[in-house]
Amino acid sequence: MRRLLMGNQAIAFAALEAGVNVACGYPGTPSTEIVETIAQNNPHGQVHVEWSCNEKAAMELAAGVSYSGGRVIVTCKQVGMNVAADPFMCLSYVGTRGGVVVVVADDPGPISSQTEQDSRQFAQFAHVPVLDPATPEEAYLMTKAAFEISEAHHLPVILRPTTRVDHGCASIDVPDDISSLPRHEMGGFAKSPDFVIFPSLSRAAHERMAHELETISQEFASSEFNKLDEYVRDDYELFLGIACSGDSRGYTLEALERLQAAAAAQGTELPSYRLLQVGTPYPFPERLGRDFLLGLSDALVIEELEPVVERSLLEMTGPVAADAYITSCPTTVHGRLDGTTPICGEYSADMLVPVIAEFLGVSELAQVCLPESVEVPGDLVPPRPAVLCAGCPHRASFTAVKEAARGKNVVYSGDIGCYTLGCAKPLQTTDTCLCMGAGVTVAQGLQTAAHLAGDDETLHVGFVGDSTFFASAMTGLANAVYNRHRMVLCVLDNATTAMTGSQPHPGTGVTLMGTRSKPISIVEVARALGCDMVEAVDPFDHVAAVEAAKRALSCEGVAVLVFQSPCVQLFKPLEPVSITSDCRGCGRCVRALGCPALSMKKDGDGAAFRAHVDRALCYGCDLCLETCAFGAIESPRAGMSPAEVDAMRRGAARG
Amino acid sequence: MDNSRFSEPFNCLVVGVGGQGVVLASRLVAAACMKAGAFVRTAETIGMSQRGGSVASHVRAASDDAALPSSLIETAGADLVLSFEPGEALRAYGRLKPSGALVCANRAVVPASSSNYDGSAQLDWLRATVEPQRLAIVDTSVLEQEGLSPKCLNVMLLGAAIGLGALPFDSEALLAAMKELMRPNFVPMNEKALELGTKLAIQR
Repeated sequence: MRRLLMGNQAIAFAALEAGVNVACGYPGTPSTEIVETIAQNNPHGQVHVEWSCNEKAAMELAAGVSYSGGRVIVTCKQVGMNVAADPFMCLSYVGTRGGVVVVVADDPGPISSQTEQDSRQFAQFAHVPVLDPATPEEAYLMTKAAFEISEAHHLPVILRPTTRVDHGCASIDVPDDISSLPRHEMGGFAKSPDFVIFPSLSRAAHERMAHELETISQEFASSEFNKLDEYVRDDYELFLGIACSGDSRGYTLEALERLQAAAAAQGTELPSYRLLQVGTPYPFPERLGRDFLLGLSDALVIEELEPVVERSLLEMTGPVAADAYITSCPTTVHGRLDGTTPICGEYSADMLVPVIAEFLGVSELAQVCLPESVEVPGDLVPPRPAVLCAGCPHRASFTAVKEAARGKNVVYSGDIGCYTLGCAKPLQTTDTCLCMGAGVTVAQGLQTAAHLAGDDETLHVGFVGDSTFFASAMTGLANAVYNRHRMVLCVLDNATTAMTGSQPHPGTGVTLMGTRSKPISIVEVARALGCDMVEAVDPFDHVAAVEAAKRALSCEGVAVLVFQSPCVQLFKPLEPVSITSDCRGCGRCVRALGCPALSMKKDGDGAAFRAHVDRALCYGCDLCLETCAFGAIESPRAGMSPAEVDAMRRGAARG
Repeated sequence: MDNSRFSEPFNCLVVGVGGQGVVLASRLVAAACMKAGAFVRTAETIGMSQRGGSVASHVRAASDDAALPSSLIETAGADLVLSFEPGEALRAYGRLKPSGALVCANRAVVPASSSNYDGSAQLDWLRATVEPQRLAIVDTSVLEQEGLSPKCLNVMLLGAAIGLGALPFDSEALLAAMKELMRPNFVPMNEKALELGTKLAIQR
């Protein structure tokens, strides 16, 4: 059946077709939908699907499954691979049994990531093959192939889709009965010294990996995922070549098509060129690379992020090149390294048209096929940065801490999640953000440095979400207690992994297998670690939240404050607030909170500005009531206690 | 199936603010194009920018996959821009073909940082720039007047695009796509929004 599938769904479908036994990972844009899709197509629980606590846990679980002969898919975003690096680097040494496919979603741009790291280099670093899809349908085919490659060579295989592949849809033919296909037969775990990594084993394994990669390079030279074509014009000698890789293949083809059309419109043709499309960047298919380079004076390499294919081609043309012919007439390779293509960011056909036109010596054609776009007056396009949702409990938590900290010098160390948006005006409660789990530990570094400089007045507050707490902040908190760092850790517990679209985590007790575990209490974890003060508070109980934050800030040791209120994505909106005639138009509510539901508007006769509530956006959190000095914001929940409103929120769960 | 109407690729850019239903609208266009026999590619904005940021979904449809190497619509490449918001229509305007159609909701979503933006200057610019036969500005207050949820805006915009003759499929194909992608209890009110949008564009 032909279906419109997102790249991530296509990868999931392919894994199910490959009989995958276990799917695990940690949520991270743009990788999240892979594990979710497998969970949605698992009616009989025949696949074990889990959101692991973090990527390292997922990778180690995968190792155990593979040792037992099971097929396993692990998913994460590119920075998740950093967390999983320890088990991953070792796993290629020990070697796999059942197929291990590690899907690492890269994010050129970056569109929603901390870094632009290129996971093809991770593959090189770990001595494992990597497949680099250009489209969702190719990701589908590559996933199936990856299990085969992994099992044939006893190595994990990285599939490295980029955002446009993960979050792009395409029409793809897939089996109808995706939920009832048979599982891969697992042999079971047989004890062997081969599973114990040891210096002597690693030395032999290093050699084995090198041989495997040589073999795989040979196999890749005839892989369906690579293509070598020639566009030859009788009157034009062939001495130019273009190599493209991964996602950039689509942009390259489109740019060439436009240049060809522009040439045809002028009654000419493009000069002769060779085109290499690479879907298997490592180990580089050298035989194919040689066929590409042969006789070329110049080659242009087009690939987003790092110059992986470019360096492979350079190695082949350089002084150590094995091929005598290439050495005697070396090809000049252009790309990232000589500044022909951009160092960073996402590519596009628009961007490539002039680059390719210049390389082919037809720059005049680029003018023709880059249409002039109509100039839109810049001041008419409103800046629209991402903001915390209306009703977001993080806004209330930040506001409470800021109020408690008034008059004190406080540095706020943030973390990765929706709450990173606390850095923006007007909240400005995120002074640093580094990586998952770093809020709690960077705060300790700042505190230590301040202390060494004789400053024990500045207070240090870390923020971390509930899912991130379990993923990578618990060790940081243990470090604070053990090494006696004075700090406050605010855990923003909204009962979900919000940024990636509401995934469960250990604190929720909900699993992807549909079973319920005992929710792990963040408060009890903090107490067990020996923190000096541990309290939980509802951030919308504003008075209590400010008081709790004041106590935490005056604690001489490690204080943990758990702000508990559910993410707005988890419940239906409560009745919106309204503005009464007492509004003086001072704008304090708008300036204090940065709530998307609040704005200033000219009133009926256009004489004065007044606060305005967008009833479609207001979630009824009532936080703005605290900001109005004139009591001009009215809530349908007037007279209810914070506990009653909290119960109302939790009771309005989405179906 | 005869997919000759896709011999030239059809490119539709759906833009708006995170949370407005941009992704669903683009999926509806994609599904309806598939039903009309096209090969479809999309690129969607999912993740951080969904939190009140500006979002864009690209939908491209052609007779076969070879005609669509990439999923992104380039400068002046869109046959149709479907905008949920006036300011976002202007942000996307550079991707509209000189002959392309533009459908835009008239209700502004005010960014949290802005004080004097209400979308009126943007709508004026559009009326002054785009010829009337390829422009439909959709009055969202009609939804409220008809007792429909603001969530029906996406289908109302699509209805207006059909009324403009800017989509390569008819209401029937869109309705079939709606039945496939929406919860059954949401279909009747959206069907009404579809009719409203189509009528509105025809009566302009």
